[in-house]
Amino acid sequence: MRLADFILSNVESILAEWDVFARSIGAGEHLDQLALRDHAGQILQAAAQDMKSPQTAAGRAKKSKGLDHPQEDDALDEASKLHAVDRLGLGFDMLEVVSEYRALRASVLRLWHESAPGPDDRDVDDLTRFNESIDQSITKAVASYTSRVDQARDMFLAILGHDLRNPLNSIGMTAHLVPLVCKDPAEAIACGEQISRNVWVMERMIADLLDYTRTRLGAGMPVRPTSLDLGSLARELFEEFRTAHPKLDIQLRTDGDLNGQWDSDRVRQAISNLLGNAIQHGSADFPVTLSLRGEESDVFINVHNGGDPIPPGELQKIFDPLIRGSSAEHPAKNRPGSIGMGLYIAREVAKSHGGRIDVTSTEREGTMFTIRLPRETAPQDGQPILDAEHIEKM
Amino acid sequence: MILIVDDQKDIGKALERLLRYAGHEADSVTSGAEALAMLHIRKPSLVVLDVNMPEMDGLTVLKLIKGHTELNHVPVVMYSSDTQSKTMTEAKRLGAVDFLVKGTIGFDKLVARICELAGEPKVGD
Repeated sequence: MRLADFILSNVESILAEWDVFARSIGAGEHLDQLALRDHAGQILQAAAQDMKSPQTAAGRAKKSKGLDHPQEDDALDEASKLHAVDRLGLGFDMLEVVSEYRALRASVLRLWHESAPGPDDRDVDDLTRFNESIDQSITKAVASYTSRVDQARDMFLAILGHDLRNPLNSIGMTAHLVPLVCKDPAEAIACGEQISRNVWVMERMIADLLDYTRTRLGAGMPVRPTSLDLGSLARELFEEFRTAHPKLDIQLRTDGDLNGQWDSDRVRQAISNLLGNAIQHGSADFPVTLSLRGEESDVFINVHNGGDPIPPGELQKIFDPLIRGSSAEHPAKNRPGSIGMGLYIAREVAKSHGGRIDVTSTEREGTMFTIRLPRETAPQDGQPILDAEHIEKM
Repeated sequence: MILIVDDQKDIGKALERLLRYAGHEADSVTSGAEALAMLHIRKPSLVVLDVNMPEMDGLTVLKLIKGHTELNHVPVVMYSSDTQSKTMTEAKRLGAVDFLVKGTIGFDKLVARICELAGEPKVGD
C-alpha cells in the first residue's frame, strides 16, 4: 500500500501510538486523549492528501525552499498553526512540540513498515513526500508558536508597565504633595503612609516578577521548610481577609492533622493568592471558602468560590500569565497590587514542596483550587532547599 | 468642584489634595457607577477620568456622560496610563477635552492643565 493510502486508512492506530509518546512529555501527562489528538489527525490527513497530489521536479524544488503553495497545503498549514497554538496553551514548550513531530514521523514509518508493504520503487518517493509534508508542518507550527509567544510577551510587558505605573504615579503625586502639607502633621502622616503602601505594592509586584523569572529559567523556587501548623496559618489568613473584606462571606474549615514541614512564607503566599483570586473572580452572592484537610501523608488546601465558571478551554492556561496574557485580558481585571501572577506562583509553591495544584470549575459546583502538599517537602530535581542541613552541604 | 474618577484610590486622593492646594474643591470616587451617581448631585465643573477600571471602563463612563442631556455640558479630561492611540482617538471622538497620560506629564503641569480646564474656582464651588 502506498504510504499516503496507509496513513489515510490508519489514522486512528497511528494516533494511538503517537498519543503514548505525547502523553509521556511532561505537560501532556494529565491531558485527555481528545486534547492530545485534536489537530494531529488533521495534520496527518492533510499531509496524506498533499502526498497524493501530483508533483513535478520543479514543484518539489520550489517546495523545498518553501516557495510552492498548492491548495492542499492550506489545510496542512492551518492544522499545523492551530496545533502549535493549542500546545502552547497546554504548557508544551517548543522542544516538546518538535519532539511530538519526531514521534509522529516515527510512528507513521514504523507502522507502515510493520504492515509489510512489498518492495516498491515508489517507496523513496513516498518517503520524500511524507518528510516534506512533516517538515512543512513543523515550520508552520514553529512559526505559529513563536509568533504567539512574542505576542503574549508583548502583552504581558504592556500589562506589567501599566500595573507598575499606577503605584509609581501615586508615589510621585504624593511626594509632590509633601512640601505643601508639611505644616499639617495629620496630612504629612497620611502622605507618608500612602507612599509606604504603594512602595510595598511595587515591591510585591517586583518580587512576583523575580519569582516568575527565576522559575521560568528553571532554577526552581527556593523554599525553607520548617515545622508548621497549617491550621494556625490558615486562621491568620482567614482573619486578615475577613478584616480586609468585611462585606464578603469568607469561611474557614479545618479537618485532621495539619502539621508538617513547609516554607511558611511561601505557603502563606500561595493561599493568599488563591483567596485573592477567589474574591476577585467569585460572585459576592456566594461565600469564599478556605478548607484544609489533613490525610496520612498529605494535606489538602481547598479554596472555593461561586460565580461564573472558568471556560473549560482556559483551565490549563490560567496558571501561566504569559499564555493567559495572549488573550489580551483587560489590565484593569488584575487585582490592585497584582500583575496577574498569583496562580502561577501558587502552582510553583506547590511544586517546590513536591506537591501540586489542581482546579475544577463548573456552573453548578463553582470553582475550586486544590493544593496538595506532602507533609515532608519532597524537592524536585534542581529544587533549591534552604534548610540548615542543605545549606551546610553547600 | 472637580470630580476625579480613578479605581486606584491613592491616586484619586493624592490628586484631590493637590487640586485643593491649587484652590479648587475636589472629590474622588473609585468607579464609574459612583461617578455617575455623584454627577447628578454635585454638578462638577470638570471630571478627571481614568480609562482602565473594572466593571465600567472610562470610555463607557464618558459615553454615558456625553449621552445624558443634563450632564453632557460637563467637560471631561481623561487621565490614564493607557497610551494606545485607538483609546485616545475614541476618547476624543466621544467628547473628551483632553487626554493626559499618567507618568508622562509633570504634576505641576497636570494640576495647571486641570485647573485651566475647570476654570477659575468659584466661591463655594
